[in-house]
Amino acid sequence: MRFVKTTSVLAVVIAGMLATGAQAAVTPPDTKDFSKGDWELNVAKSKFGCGKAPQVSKRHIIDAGWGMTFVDWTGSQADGKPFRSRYVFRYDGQEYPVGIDRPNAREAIVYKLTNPHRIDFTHVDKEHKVTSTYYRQISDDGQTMTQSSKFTGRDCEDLQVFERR
Amino acid sequence: MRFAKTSYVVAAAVVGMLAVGAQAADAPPNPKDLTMGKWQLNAAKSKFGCTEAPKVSIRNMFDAGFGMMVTEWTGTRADGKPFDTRYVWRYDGEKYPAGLGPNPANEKSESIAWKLVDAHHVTFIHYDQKDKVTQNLKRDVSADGNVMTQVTEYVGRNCSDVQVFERQ
Repeated sequence: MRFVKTTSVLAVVIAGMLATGAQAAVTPPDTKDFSKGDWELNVAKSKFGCGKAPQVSKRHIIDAGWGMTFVDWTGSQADGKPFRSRYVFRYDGQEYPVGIDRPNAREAIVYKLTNPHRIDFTHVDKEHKVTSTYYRQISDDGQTMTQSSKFTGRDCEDLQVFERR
Repeated sequence: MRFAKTSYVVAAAVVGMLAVGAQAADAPPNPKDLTMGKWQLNAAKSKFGCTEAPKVSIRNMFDAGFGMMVTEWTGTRADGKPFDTRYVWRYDGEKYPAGLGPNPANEKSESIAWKLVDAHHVTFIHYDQKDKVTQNLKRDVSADGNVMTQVTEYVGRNCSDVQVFERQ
């Protein structure tokens, strides 16, 4: 009888833990732009057809106010070297430097919020020629973000799958 | 005779060191906007009439490209706490957030609109979230490009902060 009771309690505890796990999804901070929030690359679910997969890639994407989005991108590259890149942008059709960590960026990015679940953006060089095109698509439940990267003149694509943290 | 020679050598060395010292500041990186570059507050030459003087205040200002200016502002506050903030802007009359730190978009955060008056002068205005002006500021860079004076006037307060920076 004691065994049955103990087993029942354990079952309830495990069910509770599973339920908690199921509820571990993070609420997106901005329902008008689901790309906002903290994301971590799932390397196993991603496909790098053009570049090497990083070991770790995290993006902290916030609304800095006044329409400005701020991205703090950290991680470690394929060779294990750590990296950090910060950048800002607005969804206003203007060109924003690819980074704000050092002077004189070689490329800029133009961002478009296509809808709350999708962002399209384009890299351009200093002569305003397109060098690569991207989109970020966020799943209906807001928990997964897939980024596609295609590079001008190359027949390949990187598909990065991020999970919300 | 040996003493005289030694004196000449020492004098020459001193003159040389002074000359090097005079040239120790980096050349301004952008002649069209002399506020760009690395600056450190000279607290002794500054006057803080509204706020407490920080112990250390260093600004690294650069053009990130495509017209986007960046300031990395680091230092130590009056109470000894370190700070590290970063902000960006363009000279286009639009409002830019006053900081890009963690969770800056709170009810107290402000925006700034910037104007490059000429190569030696920048003016900028702080706004609160209701678009009311809270501060008027200007940065004037000396003719030789090595000293920058920032004056901050706070709306509704009869005081100003005058900060003198030296190019590093």
